[in-house]
Amino acid sequence: MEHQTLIHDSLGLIMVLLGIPAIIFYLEKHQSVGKLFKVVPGLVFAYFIPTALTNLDIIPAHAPLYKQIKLMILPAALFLLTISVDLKSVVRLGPKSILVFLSGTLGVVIGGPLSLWLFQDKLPPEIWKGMSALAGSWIGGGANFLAVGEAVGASSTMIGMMVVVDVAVASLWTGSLMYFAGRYKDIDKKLGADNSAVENIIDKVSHFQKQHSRVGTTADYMVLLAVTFAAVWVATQLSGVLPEIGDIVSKNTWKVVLVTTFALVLSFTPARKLEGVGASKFGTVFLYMLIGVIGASADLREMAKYPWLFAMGAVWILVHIIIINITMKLTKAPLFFMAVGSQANIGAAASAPVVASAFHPALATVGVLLGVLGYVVGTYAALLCASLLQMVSIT
Amino acid sequence: MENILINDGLGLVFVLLALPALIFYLEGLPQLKKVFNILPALVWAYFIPTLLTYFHVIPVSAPIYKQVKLVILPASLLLLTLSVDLKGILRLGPKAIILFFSGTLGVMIGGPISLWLFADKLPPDIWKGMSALAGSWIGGTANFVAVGDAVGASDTMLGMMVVVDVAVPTVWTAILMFCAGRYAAIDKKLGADNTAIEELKEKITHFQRKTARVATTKDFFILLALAFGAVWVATKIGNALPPVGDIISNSTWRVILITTFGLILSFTPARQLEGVGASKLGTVFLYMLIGVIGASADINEMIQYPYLVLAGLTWIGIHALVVIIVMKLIKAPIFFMAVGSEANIGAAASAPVIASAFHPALATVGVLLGVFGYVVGTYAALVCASLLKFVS
Repeated sequence: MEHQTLIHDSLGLIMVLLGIPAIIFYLEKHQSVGKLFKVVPGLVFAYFIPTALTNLDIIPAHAPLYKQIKLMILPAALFLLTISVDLKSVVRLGPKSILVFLSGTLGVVIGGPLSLWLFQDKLPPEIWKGMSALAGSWIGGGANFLAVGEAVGASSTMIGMMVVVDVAVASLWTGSLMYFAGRYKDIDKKLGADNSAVENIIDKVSHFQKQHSRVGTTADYMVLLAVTFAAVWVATQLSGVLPEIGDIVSKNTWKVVLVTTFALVLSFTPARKLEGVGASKFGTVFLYMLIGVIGASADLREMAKYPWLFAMGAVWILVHIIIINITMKLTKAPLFFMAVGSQANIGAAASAPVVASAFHPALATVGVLLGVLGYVVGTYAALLCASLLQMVSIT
Repeated sequence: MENILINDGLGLVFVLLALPALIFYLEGLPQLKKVFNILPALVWAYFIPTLLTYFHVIPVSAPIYKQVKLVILPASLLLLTLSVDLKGILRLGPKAIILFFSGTLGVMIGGPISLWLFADKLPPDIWKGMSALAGSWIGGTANFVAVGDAVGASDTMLGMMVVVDVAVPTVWTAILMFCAGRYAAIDKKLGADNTAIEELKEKITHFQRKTARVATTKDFFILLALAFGAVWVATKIGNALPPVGDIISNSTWRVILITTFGLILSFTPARQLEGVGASKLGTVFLYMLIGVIGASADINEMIQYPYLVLAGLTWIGIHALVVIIVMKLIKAPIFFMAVGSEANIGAAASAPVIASAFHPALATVGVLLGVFGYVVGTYAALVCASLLKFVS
């Protein structure tokens, strides 16, 4: 611990993580202040206020509680959001969303060498090794980061530097995606995109919600929470036993995959009716806690130490953004595909569903599926990127 | 550590939620209605964890239990107090206090009597340990330590007494919970007048029905943020406030503060949160707490000190006898007996649990009497100590 932040105990952090979204949700309904949220969606505040608090030393960038939220609350949120989903209409999103996702991967693969070429003389020598690892993270996730880093022999100092770039640059982009998510309807209209497949999923869930919605009893809440934590617990236990598959499927990935699978299976059973007493509402509460944690983890002050690295990272991600946006326009895909496809690359199976559910809670599953695809493609695509980077590098 | 099946925090959270969920589900089945009429849901929620502990399925103590007590208990108190009707509670006053004091008297005379009965089977100097125990059984842990210190009890002896302190009340608490589940029938048999309590309940049920609506995501946010925000503030202030003698420790401050917050909020629009399920979530939390209390009772340890446990049982039996006689004499409903007794034997943390076993709306009564126990605890226990020394 370098310094003590104002609020550092778990209980206080829970309060902050619940209090910020509570205030945002409250203000959203407010007559005059509410208008502000039409311009900047509430989600952006839920994400960046914790970032601001971290950088003002009010809350820490790392805390044991954050880890627990990622370990317990994330899978619980995924479970609760997925249980009412209509699997068939999710599958129908398939081809186009995969196309957009892969164009995002391409963007990362060519963006890296390009920005290395631009900033080469400002960056430390052998930076291509660190950038290869970062490519692993930006296509897949943490597991691919380490795998590729090891494959090209990056030093641990370099890995440490790249983690800073990874967090800072990616978190700014995630924040922008959330901004778009809040206004996706207008944007899709402007783009002339066909959003019916996505709307179809949302409609089905909202319809189901309306049909089964009722005042929950104490027993309902108990069953809801018990089923959720049962699924999380079983998924955690199983993921501890299941073998890791190469660098692709780590224990955490297993957990996310398993808990989503449980929810999808239960979505075909009467357990689906739990939606009527507020499954996805609880899921959203958990989700916002997670968003707060992701926002709080972005310590932007670290970036000041490596301005050129930051510039390099920004250009890199910009290339990725340009390519994925061009693909979106060409295929007339709705904004949702771009946002989730991009986040499934840059983030991973943990943060892609967060961005997906920023569009609508019912869409979390799509994020999980694409995020997992990122893990699978990650190492291979990043190794390809690594050889390009090595070619560009003058050393 | 022996081999325990479920030892991780997540697994225990699951057990603590799943047991009451299962019990609530089974209670709703028409075929099983009879079973739950005889043994109320609460007794199951309390004893199944004890059994699970005994069979090494879950541990007797775990970090998550502490967290439940530190965070979930106050959150539950706030949520249950939010919709309370303060005026109605004040009207319960005199009778509740009479029964509480008769319970204190029961502890004070029960100790010396059971010492006199079992003196030759117990270790010498046991009166010192028993004095400390009297502190705990009238007040709480703070009084236990204070009185133990005052009479100079050794650590080993205090350790032994902790076992008795935890083990013996388990049985009595279970009986009280059993009574709570069937209080209407019992009151009828006793010919007790429980209109004051019924009115209180009615008012809250009515308020609940009037305001109940389908909760939105926003409601859940505000509900949870308010609950945990209040817990945080109460914890911070509670830690900053000085302990008052041996009577009010930091955790007592916390319980007092959180109840005060709840009471204050009950006069504000926050009261409307009851309509979206404040007391329902409070009850979920409460059942987790009941599970933790049940799990903490270690049957294995009880078996090690048979005579001490027997002496403790006799002691608490005398206490029970006194409160029951007083209850009959003043025609008080069983609720007063149960909460008055638990406010002695348990403390400000467990008395509201018993009180809300009657009805969630009654939790505040438990807190008030429980805190009262802390205040009286040390003094009454010191009187008891001199009686014990005299008998010894």
